[in-house]
Amino acid sequence: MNHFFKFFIFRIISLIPTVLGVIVLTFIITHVIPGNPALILIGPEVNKSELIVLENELGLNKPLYVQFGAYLWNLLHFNLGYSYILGHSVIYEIRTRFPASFELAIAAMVITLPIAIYTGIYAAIRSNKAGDHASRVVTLLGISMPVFWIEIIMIIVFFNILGIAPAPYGQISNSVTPPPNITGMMILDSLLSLNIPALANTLWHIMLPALGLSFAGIAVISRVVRSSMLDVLNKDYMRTAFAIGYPRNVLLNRYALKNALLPAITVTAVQIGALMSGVVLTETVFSWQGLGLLAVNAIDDLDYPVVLAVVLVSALLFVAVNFIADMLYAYVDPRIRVG
Amino acid sequence: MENMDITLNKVHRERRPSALRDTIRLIVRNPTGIAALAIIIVYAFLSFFGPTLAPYRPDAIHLSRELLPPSSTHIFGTDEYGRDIFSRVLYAIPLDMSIAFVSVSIGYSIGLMAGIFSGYVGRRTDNAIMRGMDILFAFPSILLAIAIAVSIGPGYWTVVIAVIVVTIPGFARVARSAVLATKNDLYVLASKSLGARKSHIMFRHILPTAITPTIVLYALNLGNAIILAASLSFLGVGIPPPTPELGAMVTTGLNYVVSGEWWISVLPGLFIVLIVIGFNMMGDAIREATDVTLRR
Repeated sequence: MNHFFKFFIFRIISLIPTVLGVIVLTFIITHVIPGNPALILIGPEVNKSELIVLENELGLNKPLYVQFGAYLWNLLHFNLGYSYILGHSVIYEIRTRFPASFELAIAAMVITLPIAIYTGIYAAIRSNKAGDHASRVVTLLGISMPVFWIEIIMIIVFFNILGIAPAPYGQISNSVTPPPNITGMMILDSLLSLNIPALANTLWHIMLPALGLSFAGIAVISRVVRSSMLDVLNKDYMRTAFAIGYPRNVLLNRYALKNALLPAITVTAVQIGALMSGVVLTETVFSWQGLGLLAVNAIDDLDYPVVLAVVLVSALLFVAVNFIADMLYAYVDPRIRVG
Repeated sequence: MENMDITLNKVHRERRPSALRDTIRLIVRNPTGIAALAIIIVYAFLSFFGPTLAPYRPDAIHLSRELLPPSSTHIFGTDEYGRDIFSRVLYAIPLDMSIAFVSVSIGYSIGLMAGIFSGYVGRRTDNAIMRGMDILFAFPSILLAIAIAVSIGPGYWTVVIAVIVVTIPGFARVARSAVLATKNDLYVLASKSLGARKSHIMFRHILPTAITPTIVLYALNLGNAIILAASLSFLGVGIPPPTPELGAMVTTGLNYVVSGEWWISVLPGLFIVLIVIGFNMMGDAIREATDVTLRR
């Protein structure tokens, strides 16, 4: 545990430059790239004196390092600016929209992981047989199809043709009374308030977007599980165990799988970044009231503080996810923390 | 004396074994490689001649012919302005292919140089460059691209720059690890002991070893670039309308999916999927041809 603690501290410290870098980069994108943020804030149809007042208010006439200091100070106080279009502070918008995206991402992961691990193992055991080749084709499709396109296909198939999916308009039907806002996550809220019709309806609505989001992850993660499983199966100790005659199931599940899943942790963490990108696109397709749709609508409204805040928040979240994955990896694989 | 000259000449003229030729042979013998090559050749052809094959002008508006399903006159149907979707696809392919090649090539050059430099020089420079790459890696790709696109404004070069920024760190990491694996090899040390300059060692001895692993990534990134460009246009921060772009065409169709006009989204999207499959298969074929350990 001592080693683990040391590793933990080391990783926390090395996190600082990355986090700072993310903040600096977002600041650069907002402030240094040509274009007047004040002009962007209130739109081009404005008179000179109003513009100067706003520039003063925003501190744009101060030197850059002062501006950066102010930006950092505001960040530390969870102040991400004000959306003139939505009439709320940006952090308020993010807080209200975040749960919907989070719920969608979790649902996608719940679908992704079991399928990816199962198909990965299956493909490894049947390496170079029909099942393996089939999984290869599916994988290729999974990484080659833009998530928004496959989701549109799914809407056509499951809504237009089969009629078993809801129309792609948000998280819950208009006819169903939404659950009280406890966590902001509709499925969880329905569950907490024991509102069965709302629970069924929200689960029905999350089905397609979550499935659409999971394809890419299934493709990538199952490939990694396959190759690491193959590695393990070819190890001497596995061959010995097979030769001794241990039951196949015990060998695969108890000895091989544990070791094979290690690389899956890292790739899953990386895949969460792709998932976040996918969430933005998915929310646009399904009118899902989450962070991604917030950002996309803000782009249309030229509401840049909101867009950049969403970018910053998701980058910081992604850094946190990778950090947790590293910790998890170090926890299950002692070689990492010692080395 | 004369005899010896002849032998030397002969030696020179004989075809030396070439890694490149070997690799190409392996790719062409691999069914995946052949399929990938076929797709890429078709798209390359369409990139140059697609627009001349288009039956209609891509921006010809016919309000009387709006939202027509695929038929013999409009094989891919028409969109909400009565524009012929097939013609628009033919115009969009060169655009998307150009975005992919331009951006990934630039990203490749920058990433490769940064990775080699970082890996070879080492120490603080290495640390600084790789930390920078970590920061770029910390952004989910579409969100970073959105931030860039929003601050420069939509357009061709915006998409290109966004893709460049997203691809650099991957190339840099792979190139760097290739350098670290070879920089203390005997032939590099020998060159060093002969007094070769750093730049000479980097370009003549180390660069070639970094090419193979990064070229696989290059092919894969071409596919990713197509998807990223299409996604940006899909979100409205990429190529602005009315320019035909595959992702933007899928967006237009999104509003008509529920009412049953499926062709507007599905058919242009199919052309994204096909070329991305081509690039991904090419990446796999190159990897199989160059990496002996994968041949099981």
